[in-house]
Amino acid sequence: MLPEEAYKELQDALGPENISDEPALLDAYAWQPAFSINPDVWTPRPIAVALPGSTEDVVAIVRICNKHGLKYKAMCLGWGAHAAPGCEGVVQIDLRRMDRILEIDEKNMYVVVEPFAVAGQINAEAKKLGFSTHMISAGASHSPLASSTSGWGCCWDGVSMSWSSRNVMGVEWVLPTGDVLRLGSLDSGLGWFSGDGPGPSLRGIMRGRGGAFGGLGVFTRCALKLYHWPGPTENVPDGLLWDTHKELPENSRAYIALFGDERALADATQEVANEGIGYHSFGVGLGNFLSGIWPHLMRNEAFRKAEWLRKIVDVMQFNWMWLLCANSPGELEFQEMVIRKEVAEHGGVLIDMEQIGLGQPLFWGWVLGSFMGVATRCGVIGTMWGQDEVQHAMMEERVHGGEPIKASGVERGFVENDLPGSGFHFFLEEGIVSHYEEVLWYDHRDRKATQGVRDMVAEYTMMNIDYCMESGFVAGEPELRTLYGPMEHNFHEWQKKIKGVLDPGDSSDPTLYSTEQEFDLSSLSPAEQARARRLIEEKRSGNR
Amino acid sequence: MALSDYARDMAGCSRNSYCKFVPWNKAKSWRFSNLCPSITRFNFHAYSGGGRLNMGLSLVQGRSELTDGVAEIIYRCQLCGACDMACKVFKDDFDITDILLEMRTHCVEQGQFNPEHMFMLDNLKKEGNVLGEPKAERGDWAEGLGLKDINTEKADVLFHAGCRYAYDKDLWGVVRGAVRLMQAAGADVGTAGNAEACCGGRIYELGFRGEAMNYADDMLSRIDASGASTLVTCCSDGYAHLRYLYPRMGKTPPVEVLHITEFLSRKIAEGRLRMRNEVPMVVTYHDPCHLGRMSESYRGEWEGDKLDRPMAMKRTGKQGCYEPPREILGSIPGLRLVEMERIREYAWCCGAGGGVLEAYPDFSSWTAMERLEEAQSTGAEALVTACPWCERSFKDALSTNGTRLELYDLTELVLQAAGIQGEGGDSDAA
Amino acid sequence: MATTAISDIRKDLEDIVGQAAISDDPEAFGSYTNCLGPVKPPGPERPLLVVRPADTAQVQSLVRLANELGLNLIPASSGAPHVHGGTAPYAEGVIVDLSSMNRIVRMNRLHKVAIIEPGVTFGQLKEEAARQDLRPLMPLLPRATKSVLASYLEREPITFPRFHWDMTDPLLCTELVFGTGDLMRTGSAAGPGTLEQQWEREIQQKNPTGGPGAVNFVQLFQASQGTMGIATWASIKLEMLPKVRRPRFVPEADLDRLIDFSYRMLRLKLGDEFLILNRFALANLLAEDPAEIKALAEKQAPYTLFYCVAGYQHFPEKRVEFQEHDIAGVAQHYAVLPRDEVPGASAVRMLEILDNPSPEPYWKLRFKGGFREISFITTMDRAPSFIALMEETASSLGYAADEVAAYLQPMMQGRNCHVEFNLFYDPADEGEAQRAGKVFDAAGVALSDAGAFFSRPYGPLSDIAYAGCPDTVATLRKVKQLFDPNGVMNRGKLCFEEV
Ligand code: SF4
Ligand code: SF4
Repeated sequence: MLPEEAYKELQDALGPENISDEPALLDAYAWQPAFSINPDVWTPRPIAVALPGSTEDVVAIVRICNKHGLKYKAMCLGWGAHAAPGCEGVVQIDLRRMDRILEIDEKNMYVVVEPFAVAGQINAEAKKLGFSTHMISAGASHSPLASSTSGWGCCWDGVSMSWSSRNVMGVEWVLPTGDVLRLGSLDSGLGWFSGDGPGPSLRGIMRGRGGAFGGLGVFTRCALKLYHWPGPTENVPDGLLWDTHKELPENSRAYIALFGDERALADATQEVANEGIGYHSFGVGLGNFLSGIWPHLMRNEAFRKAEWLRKIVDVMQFNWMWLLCANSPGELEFQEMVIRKEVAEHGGVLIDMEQIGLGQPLFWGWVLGSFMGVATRCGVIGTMWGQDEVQHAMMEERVHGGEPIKASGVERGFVENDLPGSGFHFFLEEGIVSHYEEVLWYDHRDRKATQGVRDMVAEYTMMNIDYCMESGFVAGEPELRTLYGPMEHNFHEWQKKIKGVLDPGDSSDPTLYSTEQEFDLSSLSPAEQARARRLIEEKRSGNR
Repeated sequence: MALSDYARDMAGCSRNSYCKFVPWNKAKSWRFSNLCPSITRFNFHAYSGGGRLNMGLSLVQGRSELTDGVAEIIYRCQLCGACDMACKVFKDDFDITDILLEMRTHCVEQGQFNPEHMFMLDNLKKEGNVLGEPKAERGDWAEGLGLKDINTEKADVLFHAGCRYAYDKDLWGVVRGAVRLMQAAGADVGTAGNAEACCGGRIYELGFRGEAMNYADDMLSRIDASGASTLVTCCSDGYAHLRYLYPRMGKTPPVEVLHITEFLSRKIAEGRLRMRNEVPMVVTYHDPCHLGRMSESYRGEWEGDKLDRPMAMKRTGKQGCYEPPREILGSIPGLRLVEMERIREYAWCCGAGGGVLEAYPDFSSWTAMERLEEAQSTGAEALVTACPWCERSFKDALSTNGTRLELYDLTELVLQAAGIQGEGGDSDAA
Repeated sequence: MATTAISDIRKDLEDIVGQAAISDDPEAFGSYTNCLGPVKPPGPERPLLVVRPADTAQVQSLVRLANELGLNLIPASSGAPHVHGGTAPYAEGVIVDLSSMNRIVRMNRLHKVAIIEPGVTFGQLKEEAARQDLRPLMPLLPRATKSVLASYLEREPITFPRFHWDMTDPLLCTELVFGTGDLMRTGSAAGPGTLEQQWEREIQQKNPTGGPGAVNFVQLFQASQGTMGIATWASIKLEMLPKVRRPRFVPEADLDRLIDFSYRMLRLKLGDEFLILNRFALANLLAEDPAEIKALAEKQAPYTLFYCVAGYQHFPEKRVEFQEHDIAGVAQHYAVLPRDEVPGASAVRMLEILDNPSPEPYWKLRFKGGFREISFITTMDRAPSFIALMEETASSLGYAADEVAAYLQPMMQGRNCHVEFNLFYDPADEGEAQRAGKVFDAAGVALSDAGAFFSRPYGPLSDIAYAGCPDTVATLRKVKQLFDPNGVMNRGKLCFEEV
């Protein structure tokens, strides 16, 4: 319960219409089926929801919470359990009212946004000026500020638009105490063009590969890089999804290549990435696609038993797509030459997706962020992933580690049968690293599925450790952090120390930052548990 | 059905916020990419389509109670159907609009309703219309039009005026003009005069489902009496209710139901109505929710897992009445249509629906103002619509705000183009 | 410190690194303390000793010992001459010279990566990389003895803005010894698993996001001038060795026009090497003899952009061809003229110069034997006003404005820009030296007032830089307190005086 006095103070600060402790309304914030390894869909119900309209409002909320010994957690679009309070007694700060695009600096190629400026909106404004904004795999319905300041943030366009953590410039940050810190040039009153310095970059305490997920105060504004878009300034296709029709821009193409095995795929795609080719460069399992479009078909017994179909899907598992948006005919020609050569040399088949009628929906779906991501037809999408490393390491892990676990999850009836489809991959920049995520489609209403997915998390986690990779959730989930910390130089202790100095009152929701919790291996068989313990011990001792 | 019967559907929400924005393929700007008036105005997640489902699930699971505050959230929603459409871009194993309707019935069952809505119901019971106007004056609007009285004679076309048109004298020009155009196009039109009553859709939307049934029965008996093969209405609300709610209540009208824009566009296409006069104007067109996405016909109930529901049984909003109004506008010489950013199935609501106009007039006019700003941003001189509720809502908002934008019902433009001027003027239609 | 005699300290240090790796030779001290950069008054302290650890374990032991004894450690990776003052002790202490840790641990062609120790120099790396058809991303003519790792850790700009996505580039994963003595590996190198175990799994230690978890330790170490701890190795990104290259000069009187052209080029990711020099800076790169430099400068256009397009492993000619074609269009639009040569040098010659570390003596010493560097970050469009201000400040103090060398290095693909001014003076001429010092001091203040962002401030510039951002200072001090609670790492640098 929110103390009456605190409610009153929040009301005075924000206006009565911007604070609520109505239980049913609060429960709307506690329904978080996605990105939860907790089989219960309900997350802890916040004790109140506050709607700040400005940085000053955020400061006021944070100070009131500190004064009354309350915890708080900020969210933007709020997709996924990591956006919700992780423990009881938390005031949820919903940043919805802070939704503006404050500035687009065309020359210096950045946009300054508030937390609730949505990727699809920013992209629409950016495209009018010949720019694109990096769009994470969640699609257009995400907050680029959240993704850049607070966690994760990679996607298909990484080859041309980098990843969220690397796209952030100046930042305005309400620290857990209510003090406002501005990063980089901004703090010296010089504008948004640098988030680093003077001296050490405090971006380093803001986030790493993961982020604080609301555990370190509230980010209220930031500058994000924009990237050149060579297409038209008006980009509205006919249709909403697969029915999308619109010519591809000049010098643009959509290709898919099919390879015989993972090695050929990894070699060829790395060579192409090394040349910096592609507006988007990624691989997506066919089953992944099919599940998205036809989950009911996936459930059909006859369909599942169609071995011939499985064989076809298998043949297409090692695929890669390039969406090319070249600046000139010459550049396009060069890019196509490289792709053709690499595909041919590695025994692949290259298909122009426009020729098979899929070019337009795929191209625009990805470019506008409308195609994939947070929305699925069946229940929710769950993904499992490890460290981001070079394409070859990711392929190894996928084929020999991830896919067998997925197949067994399908077998056990936990996740949808996508024959079983693989996940998705994509590059960062000129192929520095690649990212791979295994995709699980499941119905979060089905307890067997949610419990089963929780079991699969344990399996994937052990796989990641075996493949010497950090878990994708490591920054977020307390039990993963506790498990991995001792294998990775006790980084969790350092995180906690940083939290300690920035948040002496432990007021910013601590769950995703400093809470300790043992990793639960009980879902594994005794033999698997023994192997897991050996693995953990081996990796921990190697770290000492 | 009870709200608890929708528990599984409500739990289907994956909390992805698609219901708050225009489908991303259609986002043209920051300013006009919001879709749901309710969440845009009130901001708490519970005000969005998804948040409403989460809240509903909380209620039926007994995690929280239906308080005054919760009922207020439930009724601060135009039932515009935009969330349903946007969610269904991906997710089609539940129908948000049906659930939102059910939540209101649940409120009524629990004794949670608005005084303003009670007033509407009382009006309806007393006078047969939600506005509380005398039943005896219902047919006044049609005076001198020479319409057949279906209480005594048969007609090919039954014209249903609807409550707003029947009593809102500001809008009589539209409804009378519509009749003139129908007559000019050679239609044999009859109306029920004072015997016409509300279609009952509005009160269904307010949660008074039992009452709505009675009015549906009433409507069917009038249709029966008229002997008509076609029912035409200028009221988008009524049109949507006849096409969706009626069949859903098991009261499928035994006639073809047409909105006036459908009727007129057909007649223009057939050459029965000629657009001979120039109407030199740049206009933009507002798709009324109930003419657009909400008017999709009833597709029957699907038993079992809704994921397996075939496409033909899903309402996605795409099959609304979008082309006829545009065809009409396209046929008017000299007139140029510039579209707003949010159109067709992802149009922004006028603000009047779902009982909001009556219970939360500020919210209603705020919603209308949003639309007027969007209309203005196109550079059009006039905003055209095809629904009396939209028109009333825009008119009221314009009167409080001083925005310079002309407002027309589509019928008024057709009258000008067809050269049918004023009351009782001679038709020079073909 | 006072309680522990030097001889005892020496003994303890010997136990860690061995006798041969310790020196108290005043000659050796000179190279660290007599650095060419400005230091804060009253000037550097004399080091107690110089130690040369051989591996990470020794570094860790040294830091632990420093914590026990309260020793001040001053890390140094590059060889002499030190030019920024980073290695000049601000308090009595021990120099930890990492230059003998100079292995290139690993290199991979396909994945364009190397793991290097702190002592690896650009020359060494370039040679080794070329064997694998790779090349390092170089800053502008680094000293022959410059440590690659130190350069990248200092956030020194590379001359390839296209490959400079973020400020950590080209640094990827690192191994760090914190001021507490704790070890951390960052990025994918963090684990689980040893490097060898990771290699077996094909991991190449390339993740650049600085983790593990929610902290980017690399960002906290960069530009910290050794105040947070010591980096003992790092993986860095290399780029493909071009097969075909087409360098060009764009001489231009109108800097704004050149900058507009640059914005477009960088937005389109055209050009690998890409930098702008004023006539005097260009002449200093091209010529060696002072008189020649003077003469050559006069012949140049006021500003010259240099860029080079390249083709790599695939269809190199084709790659160069389309870039040249596209650039021609951009150049025409902005009415600039790319050329093959400027007075005194062909573009090919310029490329050769940029491809290598500076020949001896260091290029900034050529003109007069001494220099003062003042560099900061701004955006390209604001750079011209800073140049005007710098020239004005210089001439108002009697320093010839046409002898201010200006270098603009777009960074982060053009989103901001490193601006560097060099003032040359004869160290033997006290008057000249004093004047250069005065211009440096005055310009520091004037540029800062005008909005220059001293993002990696050395010496007295740190006071100016930190005066403007008290919140950053307060937070940095808290961070420093975590990683170096006893203040053993390079005391007194940056904003850490009081720590
Ligand atoms: S109702 Fe639909 S669109 Fe809205 S949050 Fe739920 S699943 Fe998403
Ligand atoms: S029906 Fe309309 S107003 Fe109501 S929640 Fe859905 S989109 Fe919002």
